[in-house]
Amino acid sequence: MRRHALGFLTVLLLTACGAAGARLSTEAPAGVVGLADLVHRDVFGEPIPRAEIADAKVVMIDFWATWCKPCKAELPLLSDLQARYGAAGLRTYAIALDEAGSAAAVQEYAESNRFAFRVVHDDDGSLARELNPRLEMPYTLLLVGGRVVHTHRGFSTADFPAVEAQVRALLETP
Amino acid sequence: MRLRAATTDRRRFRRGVLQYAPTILVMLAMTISAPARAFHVQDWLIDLTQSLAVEAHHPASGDPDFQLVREKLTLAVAYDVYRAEARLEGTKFLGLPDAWNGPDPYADVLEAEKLTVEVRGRDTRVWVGDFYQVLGRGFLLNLRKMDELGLDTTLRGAKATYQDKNLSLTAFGGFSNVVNLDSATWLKVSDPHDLLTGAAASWRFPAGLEVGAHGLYAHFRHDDTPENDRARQEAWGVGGTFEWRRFGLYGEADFLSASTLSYFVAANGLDLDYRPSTVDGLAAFLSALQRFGPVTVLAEAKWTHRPRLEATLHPGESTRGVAAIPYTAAPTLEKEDLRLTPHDSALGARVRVSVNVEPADAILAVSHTHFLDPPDAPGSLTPIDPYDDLDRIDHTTVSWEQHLLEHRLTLTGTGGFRQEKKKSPEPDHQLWYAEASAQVPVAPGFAVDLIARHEDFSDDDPLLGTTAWREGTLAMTWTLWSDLVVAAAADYSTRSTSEHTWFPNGSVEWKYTDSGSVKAFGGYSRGGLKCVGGVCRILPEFDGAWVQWVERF
Repeated sequence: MRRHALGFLTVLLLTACGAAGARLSTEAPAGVVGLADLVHRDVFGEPIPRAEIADAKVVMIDFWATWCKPCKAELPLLSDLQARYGAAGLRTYAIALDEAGSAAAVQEYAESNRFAFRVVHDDDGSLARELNPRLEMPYTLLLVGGRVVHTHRGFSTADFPAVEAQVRALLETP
Repeated sequence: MRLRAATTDRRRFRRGVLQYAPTILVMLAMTISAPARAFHVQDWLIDLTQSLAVEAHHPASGDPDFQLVREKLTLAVAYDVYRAEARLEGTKFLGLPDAWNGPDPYADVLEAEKLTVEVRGRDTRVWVGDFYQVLGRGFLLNLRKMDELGLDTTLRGAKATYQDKNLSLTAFGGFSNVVNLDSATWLKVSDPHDLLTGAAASWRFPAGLEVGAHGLYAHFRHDDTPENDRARQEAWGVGGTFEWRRFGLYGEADFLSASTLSYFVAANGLDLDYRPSTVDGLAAFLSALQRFGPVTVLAEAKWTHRPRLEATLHPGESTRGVAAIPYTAAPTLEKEDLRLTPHDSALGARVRVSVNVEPADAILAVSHTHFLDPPDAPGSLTPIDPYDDLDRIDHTTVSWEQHLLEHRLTLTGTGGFRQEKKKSPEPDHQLWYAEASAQVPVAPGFAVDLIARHEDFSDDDPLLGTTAWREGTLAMTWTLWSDLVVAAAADYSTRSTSEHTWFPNGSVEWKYTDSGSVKAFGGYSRGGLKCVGGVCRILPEFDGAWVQWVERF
């Protein structure tokens, strides 16, 4: 019996979720995120008002780290998107997953690149725990009304037109 | 990790596969049949993430081959201000010979690794169960997930925070809870259950200056176990911080006192003698960041004297090769991903200058780090530190990041030299390194990523002469139709302790939805020291294949 414990428990959980899914609506997209409860200040200490997040039509969150090369290749493209679609209601937050001891390096990278979006340092891992528990990076989420509607794992320049198309489509949705 | 049998028992493997195939198939069927979206009704949310991996290993140690199935299941349920999360992890080993010579390597594990209930108010949050915790920059406490190293240590207890416009308060207490199967050694690791409690407070003044203080008390289990090299009985620490981000300033000072069981050479000069003693740790850190037009300057300085805390191990675990699990981490002041043994005691500084070359859409960065032999601190009795005989370290890095084609093409290049001078007769260490990478768009939906990295090491021993070796990685990744990623790579190492010189490998990943993917890997990958954010572990070489299926519902 002990040998099958893993399988039984897994099946039990999945069955429970499957049963729940049969009763519940599956139309709503995944993830209701109280982002304003999690993000208070950017990496330069500037407060992030709740209204800034609440008023955004589309929120884009990108997880990165100073030692992650594909992440650093993606950030300028995200900055371009923020610059072009900010007026239409896009708010982008780049969440650095560096260790607490690397806070200065995160600030330095953000300062020298002058991104069009805010950079936030998740120094205690609390944001990652809720939004990116597997600590993937780069990992990009698009949220509308606090709900995750699209996610992108990894980065390739080949993918980016699709990200931009999704942002544009979400912004154009009434 | 020694086996009495010398060859793989294939019949047993087949029997194992047949035995578990129905369970695995049922798991797959149940999961696939579940609706492929989160379950959301009114204010309820159910979020399920699963990761199923099947791995085949051919250990470099010469042990027989083995296979394993690993499942990680995370279930999060949120309602209104409440959120609960449970993570179940299980590993089943297959194909092992019947007879074993070790106590419990490759032991099957099924654990509820993380359990948390969280209540969120407007200014307050309360956790009961597992939580992460960092104090300051991590000198006194740094508990968070580090996937690359297989570390995920939490405290299981309770934590409460209050945060308003100016005031931030945190209080916590709990018993340490680690990942119970060490993926580096496949050894079962018992939870240390060290008690750690602490508090932190900070106040933000109108001008933006934030001043804080924190404290920690730890009571360690297994304090009578001499095999814990520096088995601690209890420890307490206090620290203070200030941060003025508007001016890019941060400062921190910490003091740590730990009563330990330290070992010394006995009077006969041969045996080791264990005696209780007190080890004091000190840490001071200062960083400043300023921008002058296109130039950004970062300066950091630190003085640390053995402020490190580690989990105590259960009796018998360290002798089986279980590695120490750190509770602390400190800023390294050096390139984060280099494989450098972190120092317990160091006095040094780094200056990094970045220039935004706007006409060329590029960033040039030059960094230099210098460490000195730190002065002795009072109360230091621990006799062993790999950097005790340090004379100085110099480390210079130059990097160039170039964006082209409206940021769709990125080229990066980094080169550096690090020299570690020891006081005679210890050997000096030198490291030259260079790396280059490019992300090249080919067509819509198609791209190629290239990475090349080379490291040239040498140890100059006044008695034994010079020992040199080279290591590196060449990797190419193709993204096809946006959803398919094919990679080919080769690590290399000329170090004499490696059985191989080249470690070729390949992988294919299919991202069939935004939240689901299947990845297959086959080949060799180089082991050795791996460091992330000042925490390092020695990971084994890998020879084999694995398939991983990840789905977030």
